[in-house]
Amino acid sequence: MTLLEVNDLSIRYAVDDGSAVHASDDVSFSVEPGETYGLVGESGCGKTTLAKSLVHLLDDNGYIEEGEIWFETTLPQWADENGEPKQSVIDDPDKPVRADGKTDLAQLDSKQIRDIRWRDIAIIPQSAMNALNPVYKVGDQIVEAILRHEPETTADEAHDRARDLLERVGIEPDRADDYAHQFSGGMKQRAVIAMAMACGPDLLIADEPTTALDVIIQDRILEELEALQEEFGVSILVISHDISVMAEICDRMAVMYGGKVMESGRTEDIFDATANPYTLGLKNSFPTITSKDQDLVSIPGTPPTLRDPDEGCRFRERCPFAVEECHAAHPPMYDVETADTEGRAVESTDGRAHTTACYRIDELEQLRTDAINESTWTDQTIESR
Amino acid sequence: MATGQGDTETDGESYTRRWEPRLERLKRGWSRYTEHNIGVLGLVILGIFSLWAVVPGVFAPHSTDWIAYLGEPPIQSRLTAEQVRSLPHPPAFGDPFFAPLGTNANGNGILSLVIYSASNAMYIGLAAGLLSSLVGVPLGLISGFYGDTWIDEAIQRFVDVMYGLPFLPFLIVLVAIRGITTTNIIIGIAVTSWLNNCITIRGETLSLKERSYVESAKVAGASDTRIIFRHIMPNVLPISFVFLAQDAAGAVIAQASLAYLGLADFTANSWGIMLENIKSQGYIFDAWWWLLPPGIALMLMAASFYFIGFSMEDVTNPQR
Amino acid sequence: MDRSDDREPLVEIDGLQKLFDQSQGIVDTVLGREPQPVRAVDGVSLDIYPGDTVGIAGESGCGKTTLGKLLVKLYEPTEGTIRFDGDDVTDMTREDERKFRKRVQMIFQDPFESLNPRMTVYDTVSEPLKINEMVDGYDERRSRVKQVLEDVGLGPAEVYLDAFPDELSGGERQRVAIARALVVDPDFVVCDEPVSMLDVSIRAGVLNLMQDLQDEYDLTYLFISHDLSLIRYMCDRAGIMYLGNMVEQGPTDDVIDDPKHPYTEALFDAVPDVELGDNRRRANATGEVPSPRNPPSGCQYHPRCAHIIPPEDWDGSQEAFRRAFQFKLKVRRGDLDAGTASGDGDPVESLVEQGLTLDVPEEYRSEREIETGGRRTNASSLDLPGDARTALDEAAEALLDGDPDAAVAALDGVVTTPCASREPRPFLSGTREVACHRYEDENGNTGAIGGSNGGINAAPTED
Repeated sequence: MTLLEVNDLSIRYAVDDGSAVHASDDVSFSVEPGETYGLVGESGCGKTTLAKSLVHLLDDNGYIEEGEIWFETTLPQWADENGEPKQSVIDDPDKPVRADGKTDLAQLDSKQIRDIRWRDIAIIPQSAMNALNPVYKVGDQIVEAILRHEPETTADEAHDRARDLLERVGIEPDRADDYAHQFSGGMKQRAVIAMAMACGPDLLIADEPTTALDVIIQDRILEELEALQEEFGVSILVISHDISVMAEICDRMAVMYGGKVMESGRTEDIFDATANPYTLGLKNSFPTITSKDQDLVSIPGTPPTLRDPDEGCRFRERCPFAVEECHAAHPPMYDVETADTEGRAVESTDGRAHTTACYRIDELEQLRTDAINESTWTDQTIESR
Repeated sequence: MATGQGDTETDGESYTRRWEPRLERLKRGWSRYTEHNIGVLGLVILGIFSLWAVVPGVFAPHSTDWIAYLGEPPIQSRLTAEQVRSLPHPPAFGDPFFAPLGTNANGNGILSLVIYSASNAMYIGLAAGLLSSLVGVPLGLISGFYGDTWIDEAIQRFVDVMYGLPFLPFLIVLVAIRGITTTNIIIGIAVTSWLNNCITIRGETLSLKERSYVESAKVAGASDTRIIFRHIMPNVLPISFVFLAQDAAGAVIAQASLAYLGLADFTANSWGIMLENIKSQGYIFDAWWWLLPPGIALMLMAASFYFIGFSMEDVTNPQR
Repeated sequence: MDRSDDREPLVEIDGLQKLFDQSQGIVDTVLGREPQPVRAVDGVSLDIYPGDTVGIAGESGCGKTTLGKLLVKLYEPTEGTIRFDGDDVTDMTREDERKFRKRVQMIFQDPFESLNPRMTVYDTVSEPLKINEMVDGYDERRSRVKQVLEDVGLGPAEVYLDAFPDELSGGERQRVAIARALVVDPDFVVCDEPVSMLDVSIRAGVLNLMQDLQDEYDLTYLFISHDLSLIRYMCDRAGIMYLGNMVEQGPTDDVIDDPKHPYTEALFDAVPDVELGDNRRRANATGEVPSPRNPPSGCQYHPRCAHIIPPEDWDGSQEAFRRAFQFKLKVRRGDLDAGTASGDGDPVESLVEQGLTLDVPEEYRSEREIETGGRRTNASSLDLPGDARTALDEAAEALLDGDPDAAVAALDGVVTTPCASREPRPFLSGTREVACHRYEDENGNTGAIGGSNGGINAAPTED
């Protein structure tokens, strides 16, 4: 049973002059229990906004325009003694609870979402090392997190749990009495991970978990996240622009551009049977440590403005394969397997299949071959400066 | 790599081309500035005062030598005893004379006096503000650029000493030595207000000199002087404008306070002197039409400088 | 490599050292403490030939940025020499410095900070021309600037000339920075992380541009980056730095495919890769980069090293020695004391087993370690020599008695390593220079290459 199901989520930022920035549009994806799901894209593609929106951590001028965030949880006031939602709650059309027991987080108000934060979904923020308060002991900060989100815990219990958590992430429990500046960079990152795990969430959101770290420490943190997943069965939603890291740790991914999902599916499928011009371009521009004679090609042009964007495909300005219909409307998600095996374009709403947003899905082979050539990308005229 | 074929432009044309982007920016800065009502209000008020300063005759109903009942100079007659007793006269609109804000004890129209005094306040405010910047900004730049060397230390110790200088006694001494002239007042005010300027600019410079574009200028071979004045100063000027506005406001008030204490050039028309007069002639509680206008004018002028400074700060340092 | 045949190096760095913060307060001097400067660059020797692209890689704090700034004379070296085209540049006249600055330029990391927000693109790019009085007349300058802008891909140049930096994207800004560096037609360009702050899909374009420009302008690059995949893509030769030392340098492919220095090996193992996926071997290194103010003695990497050299009379396995050495480090750091002993069973045994653990990725751990979540390991299954085992037990007992100094003393006799007492000079090994004692006796070399006399601290400190 899926843990998180995001349907057609559209997030906006209100701007002074009345227009709105479309941080994300009609984004759908799902995360299974115990899996690592990646949101990949460059800056401005909407991935961080999406993740923050799940627990209502958007800036003041951000709001969810439409869409649903179905998460496998029940608020305490709606649960019966088994923790399942009461039938009366399910039947009530005003309450955002579904028959399968999921709650729509998008519909919750600010008080209700606080019950979800940290207990069910926890965030490891970007540059997590700076998330630790320098004037409090590290252990105390974990204790505070526990007590705030599980107030029924006693202080002693919380202290024991804090030490336990530190040990689990590879830090000696005695270090709980140290301050953040006494921790090395990697240890701080681990401490923040311990804090996030404090209330045993089902979903961890890791926002650029390795961007600020040296590569050898990054290596250990990635190992740590994998170990956590094995031991606790926690699902991890990873947000990053580093496709090598994603290729390594994610089971499934969604590639985002301009606020929309361009391609999604299992990691191997996306890398081995790439099905979207943007993903093809992205792969081309990423150097790898193993290959000797690579020819990197960058995607010319700049990302589109997200302020009141028009209807067409978000990538069409920079796409070497753009055709007439790309200007009319952003393509729906098509199923890749059907296209590869049967040559037909079939729309797909199955969150778990390999899907892509491209009208030319019936010519995938040709696209893949052409994308390798540098001239394909450089010979096009760029409309914007 | 250099090719000899230039475009055939005259130097004048290329000069305009160089300034075009700056103008573009200024226009944008202006529209940003006008987003703030308070900045616009400040400009409007200051604009009115400037007009008063430049062409007071257009706005003032009388000259400063006009005397109630008797009219403009040359004065032919003298006031009767009854007329003298009626001075200072509250606002009168035609009967027995036209003085919308009344008169002072000598029979001069208050409104006219207020309008004619605007130039004095503007002059002192701007002059003191500018002088303060002219001293504070370069010293701040040099001090910051050579931070933590003997140059910086020397300048900062000097600043420390100057901080200890009490404003009023210093001014009294200065005036005692050199006489009560407007110039001395300006110098006296500027001498104490440049300090804050200097320190803030120094702080900005200290941080800016670490920026990569400064390093890049060094790598290109720029001399220290060039770096300070071509690369760092343009980035520091916006803040200094804000200081200029604040210093001007402060100068206006300072000068008025000095006048109130009797340390002013009595041959000039100024609001401060008007206040001093009402105090020394003993009508503070009796002639509100004489007391309030100069005070309000002072307040408005100082406030308008502050408003402008506030708006400018937002233009140069947007905190969206 | 047939490099030394006909060409003279363009840049010769010899024993370069840069220390920061050499002074200290009065209190410390009075108390007789030695100043602890930051040893940003600590004895680096390197030759760069014309037309090369030499990469400098390393993690944060390794000194690569400082090295770059030393080469463009933004810093003055504390010791050592830099020769550019045969001339010593450490002490130049004003006139010579001008000439130098026309030939050596730098591209900075942050495209947002490296352009003056109050100067237009034209102002920024023409500034070096004005400073060096290279082109007369506004029109000539303008057309030269336009030429360079077109060369870096910002065309039509007219559009860009009057733009301010905040109107440009990150990639465009970086191209302006490149144009600024190239407008004086330099010979040598130091690039400090030129693409690390750009979006991923833009980087390739800027890198390809830099490669094209190398041919067009006849440039030699020093390319500094923490991103090893970029080093692979751009550089023919690479040098790896750690805590201010150059631990390995040589042809890039060799360094990556066959790393000789343990740090290089760990560094490249740690890089995630799309091809390898989760079959990648993880980095075999303990701990993190220590502070450059207080680096370890001898070979500065030795506390983390997987291939640490046991003393000559050690007849156990190398792995056992590594663990025993880690035990000693933990005691010295105070991470092991009486309070650590946990669980039931003999406290001495328990303390020893806890101390012998290695904080490394799972694939390098023992079974017992994995079972206990990294807390204990089986001492008996290790190939420890008898006297070592005795020393460990002694140390454990001393710790339980609350006497850590005695514990260290007990270990000092047996658990010593040459890696901690002598700093390795770069030795030639195959196509590379490696600063590691393991390559000391290859080719019968015990001396250094390139005449470097920096880097030896012969005084044996405690290890």
